[in-house]
Amino acid sequence: MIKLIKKFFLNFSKKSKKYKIAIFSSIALYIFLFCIVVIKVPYEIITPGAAGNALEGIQIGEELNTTNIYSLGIYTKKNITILEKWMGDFNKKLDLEPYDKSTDLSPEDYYQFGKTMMFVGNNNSVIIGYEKFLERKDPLIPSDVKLTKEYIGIIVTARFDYLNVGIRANDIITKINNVEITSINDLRNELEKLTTSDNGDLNVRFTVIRSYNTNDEFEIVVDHKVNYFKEDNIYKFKVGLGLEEFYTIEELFPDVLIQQTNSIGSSGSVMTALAIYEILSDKNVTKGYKIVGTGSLNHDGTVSPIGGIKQKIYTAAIKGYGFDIFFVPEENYIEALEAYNYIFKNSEPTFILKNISTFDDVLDFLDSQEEYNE
Amino acid sequence: MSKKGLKPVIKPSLWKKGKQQQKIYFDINLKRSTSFKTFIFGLLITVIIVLPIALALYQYLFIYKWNTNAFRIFLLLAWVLILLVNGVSNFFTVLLSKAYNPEMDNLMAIDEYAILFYQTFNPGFAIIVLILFIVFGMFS
Repeated sequence: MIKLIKKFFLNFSKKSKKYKIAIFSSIALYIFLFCIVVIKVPYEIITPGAAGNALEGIQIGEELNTTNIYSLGIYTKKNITILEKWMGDFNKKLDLEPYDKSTDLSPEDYYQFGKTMMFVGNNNSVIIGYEKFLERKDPLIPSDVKLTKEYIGIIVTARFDYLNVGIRANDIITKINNVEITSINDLRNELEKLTTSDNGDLNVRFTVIRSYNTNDEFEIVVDHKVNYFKEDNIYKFKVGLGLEEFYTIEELFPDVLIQQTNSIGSSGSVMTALAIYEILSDKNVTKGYKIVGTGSLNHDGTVSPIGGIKQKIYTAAIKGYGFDIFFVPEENYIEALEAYNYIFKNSEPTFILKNISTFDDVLDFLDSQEEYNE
Repeated sequence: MSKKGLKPVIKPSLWKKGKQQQKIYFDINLKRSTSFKTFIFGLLITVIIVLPIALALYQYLFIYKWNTNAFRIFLLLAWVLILLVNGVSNFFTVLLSKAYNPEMDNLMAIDEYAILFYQTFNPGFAIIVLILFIVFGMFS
């Protein structure tokens, strides 16, 4: 190898000018190419993804279930290279968001956040799917379906390193300074009180359940160093945590088996709840239509917005999927409509875009539809 | 000499020449350790050369894997890249062999550029890679 390198340099001076220019140009091109595929820039790229069955990894009762209901996944990557940034700039279907390492979730924490949100989303899907079935079923037809739930606390879905928080992701906050917390609003109110009564650093006592150890009611007290910031002469409290109200399911029939999948996030929870509802109803709720949708389902049946809506619309429009109806959260509707109009500006839309605020909106819309005829 | 008796000199194409040169190279008895070294280092230099291209291709795949057409383009580019890797690694293997054995005249006479051309467009290798792609695509 060394012999070859030596030989190359010995012969190089004897070579023609053209040869030397070619060699230097190749080296410059190589260095340029190497730089653009290695040097990272502080951006996150969001791309369209793929559609998957809404009941992926979920089994209700003894049998494997299939439905005509789908949810959508998108791909994201943080801290991308220069080349990836250029590809993002070039294509309208891709989105670029600034990514700040010091304040945004790290890729590992983001993954953990996604897994927790998926767990909460699946939990809410089961609760709402069963509750809505029990609420809407024909009272004259007997049914064994049963669900009881119990409020546990506020689950921490994300933690931020920069806040040096003692609380971990997946902790469930039950009390603040010994005051019981029964909702996110409760938690906010308690924190509001703190912000107006003190203007310095303050240790707030959070009582949390760690590792879902609800059976033993094993509680850990965390001294959480409060971070303040001043706004309009008022010192405000900065939690900097992702929070969701969390319920456990006490009694459930038929049983639901949830397996780990590669997916993360709760954006498929509305469609999962719809699929569960259809399985329990034992009738064709979707009326033969191929349904797709997105939205994070809350325990009270309301639907929260999700990220990457544009990419989800583009994904649903990929040839071959053949969806008929796309359900989108109300707060995402305008952005979704822009992407929808962009795709179908020169062609007939292949699916209907329907905005929803609650899970009932989905059921009511499907109830109002005629049976699908080819 | 009658005109009839003259035979035109036909220069073999670069591809055919490469095929002949490759055969000559395989027939030369090199030390086993030299063969091993030239093969490994040849591959190493090739990997270093194609690394940015391979990374660019991988990043392209990540960004456009949702797009069926883009995925097909990726497969085509990956196929071409593998063929190029085959050609370049053979080129460097011969070049290194020459550097290790400058006293071997028959080795020094080999045209490594012809080998580069032949191995890059080697139909047998191209078909094997294509079959592997199809098998991999079917089972993944």
